[in-house]
Amino acid sequence: MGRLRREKSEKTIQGKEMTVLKTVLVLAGIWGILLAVGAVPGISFSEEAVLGEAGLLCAFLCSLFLFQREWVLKAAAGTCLACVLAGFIGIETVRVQAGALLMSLADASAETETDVTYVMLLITAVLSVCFFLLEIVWKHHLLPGAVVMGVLAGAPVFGISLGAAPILLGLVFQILLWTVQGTERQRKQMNHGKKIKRRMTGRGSAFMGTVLSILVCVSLVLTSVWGQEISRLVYAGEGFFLRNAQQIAGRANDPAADGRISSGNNYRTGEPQLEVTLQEKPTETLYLKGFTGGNYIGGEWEPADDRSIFHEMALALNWEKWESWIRSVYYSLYFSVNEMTAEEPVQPGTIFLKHVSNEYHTMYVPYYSRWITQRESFGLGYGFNYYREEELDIRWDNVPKDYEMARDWYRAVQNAYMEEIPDAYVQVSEEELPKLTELCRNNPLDSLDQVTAFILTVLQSHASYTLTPGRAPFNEDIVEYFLFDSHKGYCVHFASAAALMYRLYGIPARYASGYALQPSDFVQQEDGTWTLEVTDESAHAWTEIFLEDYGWTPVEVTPASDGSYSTSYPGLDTEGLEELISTMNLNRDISEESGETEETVQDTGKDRQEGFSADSWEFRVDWERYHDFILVAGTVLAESLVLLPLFLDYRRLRRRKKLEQMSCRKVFGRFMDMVHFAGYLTGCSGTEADFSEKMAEELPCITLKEAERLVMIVSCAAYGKKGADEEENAFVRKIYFCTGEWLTGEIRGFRKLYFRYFKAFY
Amino acid sequence: MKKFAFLALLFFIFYIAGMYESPALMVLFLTQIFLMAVMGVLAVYLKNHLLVSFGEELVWAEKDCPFTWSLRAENSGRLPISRFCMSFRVYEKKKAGKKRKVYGDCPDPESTLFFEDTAVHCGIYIFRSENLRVYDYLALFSGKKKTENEMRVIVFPKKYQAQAEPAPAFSGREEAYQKTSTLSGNDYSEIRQVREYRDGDSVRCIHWNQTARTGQMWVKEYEEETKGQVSLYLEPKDQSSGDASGDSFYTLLYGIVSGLLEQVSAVQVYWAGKGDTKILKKEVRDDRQCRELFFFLYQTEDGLPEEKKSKRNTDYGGLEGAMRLTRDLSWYAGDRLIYRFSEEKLEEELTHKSFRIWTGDRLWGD
Repeated sequence: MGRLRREKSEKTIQGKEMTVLKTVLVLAGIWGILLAVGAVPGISFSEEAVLGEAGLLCAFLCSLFLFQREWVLKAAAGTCLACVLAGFIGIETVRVQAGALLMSLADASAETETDVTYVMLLITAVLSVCFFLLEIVWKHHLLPGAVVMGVLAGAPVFGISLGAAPILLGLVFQILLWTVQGTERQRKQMNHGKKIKRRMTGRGSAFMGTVLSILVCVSLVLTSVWGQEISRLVYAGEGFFLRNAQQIAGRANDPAADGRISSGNNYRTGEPQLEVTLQEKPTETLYLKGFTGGNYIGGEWEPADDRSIFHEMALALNWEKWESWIRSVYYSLYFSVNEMTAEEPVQPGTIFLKHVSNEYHTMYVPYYSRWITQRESFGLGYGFNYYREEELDIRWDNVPKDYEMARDWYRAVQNAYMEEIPDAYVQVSEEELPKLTELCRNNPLDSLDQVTAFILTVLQSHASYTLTPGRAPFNEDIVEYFLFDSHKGYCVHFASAAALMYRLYGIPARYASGYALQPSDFVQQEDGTWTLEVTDESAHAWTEIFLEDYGWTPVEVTPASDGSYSTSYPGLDTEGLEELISTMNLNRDISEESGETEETVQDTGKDRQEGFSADSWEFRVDWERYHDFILVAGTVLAESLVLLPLFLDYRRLRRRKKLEQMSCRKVFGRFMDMVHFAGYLTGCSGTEADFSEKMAEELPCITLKEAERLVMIVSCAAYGKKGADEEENAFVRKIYFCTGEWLTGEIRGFRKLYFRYFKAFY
Repeated sequence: MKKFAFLALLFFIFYIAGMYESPALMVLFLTQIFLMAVMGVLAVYLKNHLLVSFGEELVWAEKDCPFTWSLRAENSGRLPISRFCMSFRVYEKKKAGKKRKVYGDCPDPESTLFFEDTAVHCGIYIFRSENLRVYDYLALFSGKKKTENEMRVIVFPKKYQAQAEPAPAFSGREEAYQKTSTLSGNDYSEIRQVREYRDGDSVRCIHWNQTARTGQMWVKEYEEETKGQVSLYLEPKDQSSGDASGDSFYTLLYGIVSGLLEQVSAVQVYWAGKGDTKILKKEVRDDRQCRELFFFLYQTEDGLPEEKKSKRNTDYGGLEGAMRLTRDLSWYAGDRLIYRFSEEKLEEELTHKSFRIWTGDRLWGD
């Protein structure tokens, strides 16, 4: 058998209604995109102008497609050319506005809002032309569908909070146009030599529209009720995948040894990382620091590098020759001085650490410690002697005479270090953190305890602890997003926020990560030692501040699972802190000039439009935003209601005029519809032998003679050699109008209105 | 593929919706995932309500010319069917069926879909439907069911009329002529000869008396019937010959018969039946009968076993000296070669060449 092909019309002919419907659906897709783009923080454009342009362009192309199809491509090309020319003419405007648009996409923290109407007009024109050509001329739904879905699905990645409108418009565009494209299969039908154009009826589209409406309602309810739970399925899935991927790739090691602040969820594998052995059971949380954050840049902590500080210290102390010695002095300073000066000598604790992976790229160091041994070149790990925080009691004057020189050296090193760290560890890029800077600036505080109380107040009121806070948009700073948008996070977010706030108040602070070991997790061995197999579930991040005579001291700012805070550091009055927190009155104005409240600032980023709240999964509509639209729509609706009777009467008269031009067979068909609607001659099709008698009997306005003549005229017109003449047609019309008048008098109530105006029978 | 791409898109949306806690995207995801489920059910529903069969059981076609066949779709459901795919196999002679697919829709309770096809070889093609897939409106899912319908496409050769011209008689045909009326029995004044019954002979021609006497079927051949007639014997089909040579043979046969019909009132065509040694006959008087001849020929002639072929080649069934058409496209009058056609230039030879056929000979039957 040779080639086989389905017969297709040489020139595809579409129904006008379908073309108009598809144009409207295309417009819906474009509108959805415009709403999504309009929600980009930092830009604004006249939605009315841009949407109006898209509507006019689509309507123009649709008209051309229906009446002058050969001009569509030329018009499309002309439009694109006009856009290019307009772009060249307003090159500077385009450059500025396009730059602003791209910048807004790249950085959501832009404070100023740029009007990008001009560039959006150009983009929309090109988009409208492309969509129209693809969907209606070339019947290619895949690419436009992918673009619309891509824009909608990708919007949250750019920090764009989508409302209900773009989603619903996108859905209508995606599904209904897909259905229309799929069901609209036209073909040339050959039937007895006649080419009959056929097309899929609108029933399929109507069915899909109905199904879509129902499903949207169901989905809205489900999302409102179980949105969080459904989201957790994503977390569970991602967690399962990542855990397995990490285990397979062997990347589950050292999860706490970098300064990257995760913008996603924290999935723990439970894989053992360290084997820790203590001589005595610890009495407080034992922090093992593996990473110390220095500068905070681009949502990431750079490793703290004290070498420049030590160099400066060497210069200040005139110890250039012993610069390398400063480092080792400093790292064991507090352990050594405490050992040397403590009023009552305390036996330091001993800790041995062994990395399960036997890879020792990162060392985990306890606070107030001193390196004691290197067990068989790390084969069995490494160890420290350390003091607990409560055991630290440095009394500079309480030293034996022989150690006075050493004490002076240690003291000089501490003083020199304290001189240098304000330059290194109070730096914050205010451009990167405008909201946080504004928050701290608007709440001036003096003492460390007040700052700590402020930080805890902010964290308590603005953030909740979860390992699955979701993912942050790539163009937003993770700390600001954590504090001002998502309000959810885990240790790295709490520790980073606190460290940055300390720094903004001029208190040297650093971000630290490693492991936090709870005393209750240790198990006593037969030899009397206490051991713990540390998994990544103990990985933790915390803030450290510099305290005189303590050095870098861990400050726990992450709440416990019950939401309580156990923040402490030497010298902190816990009760006083509680009191400070309870009396802390946050000045929540972040932007005093604009008068926006903190919540308002959040909303500009997240909830720029109606639809869904970012904080909850409840559906809500921002009526304020669409006040004008609702007003206009209401006015149009009211006017329509007023004008509806006039329109219906006009339509009725037009139908009547049309009827006067119809052939007698068509008039008879309408006559039968009319009498059936009125409840007469039901069950009769007009072909019955006794139809004339029945008609005369049921419709008193028609005599038997008239009925017989009517039937004869119509029968002759249908089956005779020649059609009815004008006089016969006029007779049939006369019977129709006569019957219509009589039926109008017979029918009562709403059916009469329906009969007269909606059906327009008479 | 489309289903998996759509599913991948949905999972991407789901991931973004969950990760970025976007309720709007979650609504989008849920709506579309439910829609997928609805589409799955819809595909089953539509499948259960659709019946598709071939529009005709028999379709006539001409080699290398497009022909139209149809599918009749009956949709008993309330919803229109936007897309279905019918798989069928096309069996050509003894070859294994070639799988084909056609797509259609059924927006109305009953729809007829027309398809255009082109046959490249003469013969009978059998279209046998195997299964039917009915798709949902997004063409994501399909319901499948088995169908068993059959349609036959009879493909005739292209018509080229050979130019046959009368020529002086050829003497060597007399012996065949003499063999007539040697049988005894009835009144032979009108009967030209009595011969054995062959398939295709009319019942009214049976010589009942002779048949009763001899116990074998005999038919009467009248003078009027044989007058202005010519007999053409077709050489048995060679199994080893390909489709192309078969097509050439049929084209030649059609051309010769059509050409002869311009000169005589009828052509008696004889050929060997399938699987036995019986000679089959078909009288052709016009183009319609000529097409019937081919239909009959396709059905009955399907090659002969080698052992029978040699026997059949010389078994003229009392038609020695009649025209012969061999499979190597040679046209004989008895043993005299009229013309040997070439496969490559057959159409040209049929169209442009004139063939001088002797007159006064029995071949013309007068």
